[in-house]
Parts: sequence; structure tokens; C-alpha cells
Amino acid sequence: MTAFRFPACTLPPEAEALRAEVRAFASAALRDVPEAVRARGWAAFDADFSRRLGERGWIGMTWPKRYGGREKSMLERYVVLEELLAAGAPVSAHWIADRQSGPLILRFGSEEQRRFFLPRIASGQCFFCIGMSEPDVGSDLASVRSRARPVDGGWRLSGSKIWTSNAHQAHYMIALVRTSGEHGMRHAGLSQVIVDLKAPGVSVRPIKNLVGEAHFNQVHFDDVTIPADRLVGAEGQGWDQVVAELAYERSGPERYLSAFRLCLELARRAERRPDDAALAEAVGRMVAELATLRRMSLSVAGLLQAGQNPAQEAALVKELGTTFEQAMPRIAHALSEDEVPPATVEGYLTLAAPSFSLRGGTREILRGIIARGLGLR
Amino acid sequence: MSLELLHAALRRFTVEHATPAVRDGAEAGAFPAALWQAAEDAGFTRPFASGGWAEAGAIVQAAGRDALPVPMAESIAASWLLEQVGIEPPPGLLTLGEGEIELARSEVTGNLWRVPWGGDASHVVAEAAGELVLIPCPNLPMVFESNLAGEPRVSLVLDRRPCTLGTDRIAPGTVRRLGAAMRALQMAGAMSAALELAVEYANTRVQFGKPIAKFQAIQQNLAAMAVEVAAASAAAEGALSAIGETGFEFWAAAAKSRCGDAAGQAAAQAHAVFGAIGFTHEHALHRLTRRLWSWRAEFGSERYWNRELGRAALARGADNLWPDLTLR
Repeated sequence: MTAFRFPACTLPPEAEALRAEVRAFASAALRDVPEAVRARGWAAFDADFSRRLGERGWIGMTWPKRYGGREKSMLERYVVLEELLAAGAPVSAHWIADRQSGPLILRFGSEEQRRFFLPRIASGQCFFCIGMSEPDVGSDLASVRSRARPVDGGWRLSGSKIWTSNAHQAHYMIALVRTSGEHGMRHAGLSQVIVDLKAPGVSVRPIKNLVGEAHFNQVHFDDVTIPADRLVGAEGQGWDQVVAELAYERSGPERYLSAFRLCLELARRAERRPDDAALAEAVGRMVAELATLRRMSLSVAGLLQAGQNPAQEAALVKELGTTFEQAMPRIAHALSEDEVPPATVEGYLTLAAPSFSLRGGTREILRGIIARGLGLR
Repeated sequence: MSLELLHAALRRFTVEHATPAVRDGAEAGAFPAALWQAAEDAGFTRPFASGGWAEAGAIVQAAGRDALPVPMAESIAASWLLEQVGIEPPPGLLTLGEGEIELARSEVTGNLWRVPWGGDASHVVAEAAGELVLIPCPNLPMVFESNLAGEPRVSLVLDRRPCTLGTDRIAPGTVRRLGAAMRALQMAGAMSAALELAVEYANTRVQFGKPIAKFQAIQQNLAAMAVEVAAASAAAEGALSAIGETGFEFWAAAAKSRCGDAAGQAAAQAHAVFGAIGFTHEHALHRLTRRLWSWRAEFGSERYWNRELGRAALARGADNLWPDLTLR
């Protein structure tokens, strides 16, 4: 049996110094933003806010300076993320580009791609989405049907993606598509291509979610021209490239802080009712869980900073974190006798919670990965 | 000794000395003197002579993992506490006591409830009026009980019992907090062992023509168990690394609460994997799970520690919830 390891990670002084700066910035910037809006956190799109973060150097901050980065450590980046998330800052616009698209381009992209995209991302002016799921392809990602056929000077892409968050507001999509081989060949023959969402043949249809908001979309590609230099990395290696970055996607503080504004609200309720032992107890349990999760999430950040690929540990932290996030509305409800209007922190998170264990790999998929780590499959 | 060598030595120690006969004898009420002597000889009951809490923590966790029927955790914790207040730890078996006792002129009067191995200990370390006190155990009036795992829990009656006082006072709750941290580490160890056993069993037990590990239901349940075990280990590690530091008050509470939560879930999941064989006395699983069910309630239950954590957090105010978390 493989034991999952979560070695302690101590933040360096420069990361703690940065914390004060980010906290002060977020506090000032969000002073007049109501709690119910803050509750949206990394689901809230605000291009202007992202641009302001870019100006401060808080997007793409670990990347080389020649690509617009600041050459900071993963741990400094971790502090920026957790402070923004805890404050309920609207960070959705640049989130995917900062977390996944940029690092992917940095690691596998061409020099031209790096020079073109990374400075734009880092300045908070170029937003990405990720095209993974398709109408018939959910968790079984290896069977994607979208296909880019080779033509002179590049590729011609047809197919469609679905549940693509922010496709209606992003500039580019990095799509996992088949570039060679046949459907059914599983992981071989898949590639990642950068799709300009303004290109002819791309149509984006927002899908209203159960909260009543449009975050995700269906995106159709109808013979969309993809220039040859917009394929990322090696042709046919798309799957391996996707897998290589999963630890980045899954272990971040956003995997346990989605309901943090409700944690705060619960604490405020308890403050108003000092004699309610059940409320105090719930706050205590919540604090123990938050501290444990933060310790584990930071541990994975430390492993990433040390150049390791803790994919299993990341899956485990995501599973634990999303379970906690999803439990919060249930806990709040169990301690309340009041009805819940939709335009409140609790109302919003009650509605949004089901998505927490769907995005970024479902609970069942993650448990499958953990089971593999245990040597069960 | 490096941590790696220590781990190996602890493994060998269990195999050599904690035989099923010794374990059954201990549960029947016979103190396993040979096992304890071997632990003393190996230095496992006084690790601070040659190491720090990293080594001591590894021993405590191993004692939980191997369900050793002797109070290594209590002796280690008691000896460390004594050193903190300038008392030379006496030789022999030391344990921790909680109860209601009054201190007057180096004599204690009152009751210590359900003291682990209180009938076998040479001394018990307890708290009275902000002082750490060292009380000799032999010949005290005692009430013999046990926990769900058959470990002795012995209430002691003190009537103007002479005791030794330290040079320094201690913060209230010191004994309970360190006891809670010890139980958290033991639980993390026991849960890891239960997970290891369950995985091994799932990979070898064949039903419907294949190892049950190949069924998704089993995989999902064991993965969920592994998540709890990992969380418990991380929280216990948090407590261990904070002993003697300012963060210990928080982490001892958080670890005991988190490990207690995980213990209930992990024990249930392990039993589900083993089916009927895991419910027999013959099978080793109950040595772990009965301890988990006992330890989660000792030195403060989840409810107790959650309330402590909640009150402390609320005393600081909701607006400090996040800033305080980032100091942990």
C-alpha cells in the first residue's frame, strides 16, 4: 500500500510579508461588496478586478520575468490565492489562465506561444477557459470526439465542448481534441489546441445553471481554423499533458474555501448568540477542519514547489476539501430555524454546493484515483 | 537513532514481544510485565534522553498502530511534563491522571478518574491548582475499570497523599491537552493500521470470482476511509509539531477533534470491508477499532474539544477567524 504523505510546509517570511499586502488590498477593494456577492468567490467574473491584480503582479507570479511573471515561489502564490479567496474576491476571470493555461503554455508551449500569451495573461487582460467535457463525454475524457483534421498551415476543428466555464467571457480556450487516430483509441492521438473564441466557426451558448446564472457554456466548432502554431506541446501527447498538471488543478485553496463566507457567517451567528453551545461547537469543528485542510493543501503546494508531482495527494485534498465545502450549507441549515432567501450567502451556497464535487474531477473519479494509490486497482 | 531505524526497531519490537498470548493476557487483567520491561530496555518509554518529540511521536504513533497493551504514550507524556516543571522523572511506569483534586502543603486530596494503568503505575502525573503534581500510586484505594478495548482505567482515591511539586506553575488544562495529543497520535496510528489491513484483505479475499478490491463499491469506501485517515494523520502531525510551542493549545484541540471524527468513520469502514471475520475475537481488527472507539472519548471527546475551539474562536471574534487560521 502506498501511504499518502503530507509533510509539513512552513511558509517562508517573504510569503508572510506578501500576505499583509494582499489582505490590505482585498479589504479595501471589497469594502462595499455585499456578503452575498463575496460568497461567489472564484465563480465571480470581474475583468477590471483581474486587471488590477495583474498590475500588482499577482497573476502568473511564478513565471519567468521575460514572460511577464515575477519569478515568485509557489508558496508566495499560494498566499495570494488563499487571501483573495478568503476575502471573497471575484477572481474567476483570470483563474483558469493563471492556474492551468499559463503553466501549460510555459511547460509545453512554443517560445512564440509563451511570448505571445503569458505576458497578456499576467497583466490580467487575457482570459482562458478549458475545453474538456463534451455532450457525450463527461468523466470519460479520453473518448473526446472533437476532431482537428490536418490542413495546409494547421488544423480544422469540428465538434463541441460543454460545461465550459467562462467560455462566453474568455478570449481563448485550450481544448482537448483528437488530432490523429480513431475514436476509441483512448489516450493516444489527443492534443491540446488554443482556440481563439472570436474565430469564425466558433459559437458559444451560455447554459443557465440551477443558481440561475450562466457560468458554463456549450461551445460549437464548425470547421474552425487552428493555425499550426496554436497546438500546444506535442501532437498526440495531449492526454499526458493534461495529467501532468492535475496536481496544480486539484490541490489549491479554492478546493476548500468555496464556502468560506458561510463559515464566517456561521461564526457571526454564533457571536450574536453566545449562549448557544451547539453553534459554538459547530464553529469549533469547522475551525478544526479548516486548519487540517489548510495544512494538507499547503503541504501539496510545498511538494509542488519542491518539484514533485503529488497527483494522488492532490486528489485526496480535493475530495476532503469539497466534502467540507458541501457540508457547510447542511451544517448551517441544521443550526437554524429560519428560511433561506436566495440572495444570501447561505442561499447562494446551498444552491451552488452540488457543483463543488463535480468541477475538476468528480468525487467518484477522485476516489478511483485514491483507490489506485492504495493499490486496489 | 534515525527515524527510519526507529521505525524498524518499533516494528521488530511488536513482532517479538506483543504476541497474541501477551495481548490476551493483558486484556484478561494481567499486566504484561515482560512487554513493558522490553519497552523500557529499548528506551521507548523515555525517548527524550536521546531525542525529541519527533522520536517520541513516532513511538506513540507506533504504539497506536500496533495496539500495544502498555502505556507508552502516557509514560512518555508524563516524563516530558515533569521535565518541563523541573521534576526528575522517577523510574518505572508513569501515567497521566485527570480528576478533581485539591492541593495543600504538598498533599493532594480528591479523586482521579479512570487513570490509564493506574493500578500498575509507580506514579501518576496530574494537575492541581495550577501545579503539576507527581503522586506515588502504590497502595492507594482504587476502583478497577477498563475502557472498551480492555485497557485498564483505574480510579484513584487521594486522601492527603504526599506529592512532589515542580518549580514552575503550568497553564490550566496542560495534562488534558497533552493527553489529547497523545490519543490523536495513537488514533492516527491505529487508523493507518486498520486501513493497511483492510486494503490487504480486499486484495486477497475473493468473492464472485475476483478479489473484492476490484469492486468499485469497495474501492470507493476504502478511498473515503483513506481520506479520513490522511486528515487524521495531518491533524495529529500538527499537534505533534506544536508541542511546547504557542500553537499547541489550538492544535491539540483540533487534532483530537479531527482524529475522533475520523476514528468513528474509519472503524466503521474497516469493519464493512472485513465482514463477519472482522467481528470475531480471533481477528486482529478489533484490537484497533475498540481502541479507536475508546480513545476518541478519552482526554476530551470531539464535542468537548469542538466547544473549546469554538469558544476560543468566538472570543477572538468572527473577523479574526481567517487571520488566526493563517497563523496555525
